[in-house]
Amino acid sequence: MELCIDRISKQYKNKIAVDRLSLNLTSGVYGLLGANGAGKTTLMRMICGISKPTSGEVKFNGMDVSEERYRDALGYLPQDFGYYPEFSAQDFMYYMASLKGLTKSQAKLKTKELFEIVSLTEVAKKKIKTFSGGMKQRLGIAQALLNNPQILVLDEPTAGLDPKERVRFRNLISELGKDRIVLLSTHIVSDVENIANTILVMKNGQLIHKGALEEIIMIIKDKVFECTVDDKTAEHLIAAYPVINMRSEGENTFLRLVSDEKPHHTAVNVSATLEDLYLYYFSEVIENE
Amino acid sequence: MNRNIKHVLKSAFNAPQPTKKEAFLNSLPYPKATTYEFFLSQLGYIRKRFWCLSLLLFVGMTIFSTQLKHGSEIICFISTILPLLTLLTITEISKSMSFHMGELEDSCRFNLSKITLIRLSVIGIFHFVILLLVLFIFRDNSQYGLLRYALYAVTPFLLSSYLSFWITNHFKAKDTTYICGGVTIFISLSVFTLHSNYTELYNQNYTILWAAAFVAISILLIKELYFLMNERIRQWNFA
Ligand SMILES: Nc1ncnc2c1ncn2[C@@H]1O[C@H](COP(=O)(O)OP(=O)(O)O)[C@@H](O)[C@H]1O
Ligand SMILES: [Mg+2]
Repeated sequence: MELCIDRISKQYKNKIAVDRLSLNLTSGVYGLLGANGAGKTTLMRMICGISKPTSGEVKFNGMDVSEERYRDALGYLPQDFGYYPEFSAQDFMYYMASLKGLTKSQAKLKTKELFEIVSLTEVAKKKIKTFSGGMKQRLGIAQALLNNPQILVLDEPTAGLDPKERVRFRNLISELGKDRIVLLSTHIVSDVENIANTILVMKNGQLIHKGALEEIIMIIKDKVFECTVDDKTAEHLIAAYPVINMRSEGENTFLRLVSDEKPHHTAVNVSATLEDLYLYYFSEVIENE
Repeated sequence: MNRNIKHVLKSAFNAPQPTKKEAFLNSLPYPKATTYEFFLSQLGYIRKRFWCLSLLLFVGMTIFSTQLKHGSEIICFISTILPLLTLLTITEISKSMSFHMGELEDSCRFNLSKITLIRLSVIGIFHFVILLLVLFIFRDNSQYGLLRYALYAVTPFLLSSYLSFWITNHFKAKDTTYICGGVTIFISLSVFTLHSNYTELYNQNYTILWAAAFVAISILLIKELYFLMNERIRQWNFA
């Protein structure tokens, strides 16, 4: 089982959303991490065959992304999706099942099974209109699984889920990742920290890092420092180094920052987390927002 | 094998835990629907509202037309009303866009191009049958002969279809319904005015002009439908 992404690019008028990106995926859970506008959604759409790359190609086990057989092996949860207003949760699943080419009896069976998994059995006949954000998101995850896909692409799947739902979602994803390719995008670090076997970091349409959590963190290992200094020193440090975290503590300011060497004589080296790496890479973006 | 031995063997060894059961179950192909079954399933997903309003428009039009005496009045009435069918078609065809279901639909085995093709075919055939029925019912009332009669009735309808699809292809999804509504009503009123004030347009001499318009608009319409089905319906690819 191999999904090959070969030098794909996507250009919108004068904006390059994805820039000559190559990637080979085998079974497992992949966490695609990047700030808003990094190109995650564009990349996922090309993998799902719903946006044509400007150049490059996507293949799964030799099948081209444009083939019906490819889509038959695919499950996709878009970042945003709507539904026809008259649909109940069950109608929605039956409709999606018909598009995925399931027979009626298969659709019934699968819907029942998946509603158990995502805890929607009780509200199966309720109109989607009445659903909370989390319920709608769980419905979206359920439809993606209808055809038992080999490739599961989830664009910001945890958006709208409450903490309890998140935990259940992580367990489900770990289970699913055992024998298929699961690619999920997020801009929330803790979503991928625990479940992704491989972390992909995307910035400006390019893949800047790829590897297991430990490997990725190696990049800023020994480079994260914490110190508590007076406001004046803090100002200097903020101007000189990427700051990951800061809070004022009475007269002083607490700083967590990234630096190649000790930024201040009181600074202490602390162990790095994925969050540090993320904030380090996307600090400019966060300032802009 | 001797039954006794079997029994003894069974009790002596525990059966190994099934390994890779999940993987095995996943590898079993599930029964799949054929394209024909898919087509049938999609018929049910065309909204009832669409069928009902189409029929209502048709029946209302027929009943009212039978009250009219002159062939020219009937054709005026029919060609004024028919463009309104376009509005029903557009709302049904562009529902993936207006309700943001397109991305989900397009990632399925039967993708958005196929779904749209089926919707278009079903609606097209349905409206074609309605048109044939209209022509059939009033075939004797006409002073024009069947060909001219058909041209006069259908050309404005084609024009409003073409313009509506052009608008769908070139404007933001949320605005299209209103613009299409405006354009369709404008065409209906124009046709009515033509009939009342420019009767010479309906002379025999102009038949060739009507035929030319019919062919040209058909070609333009097909171009718009093709673009909609293969590009524009994927609205997320447009800014
Ligand atoms: N349909 C589109 N037309 C023009 N630009 C687009 C379109 N879709 C995305 N973009 C641009 O491409 C870039 C990447 O967007 P996106 O893939 O949505 O990023 P992400 O999902 O990581 O937030 C952004 O700058 C965005 O403005
Ligand atoms: Mg996105």
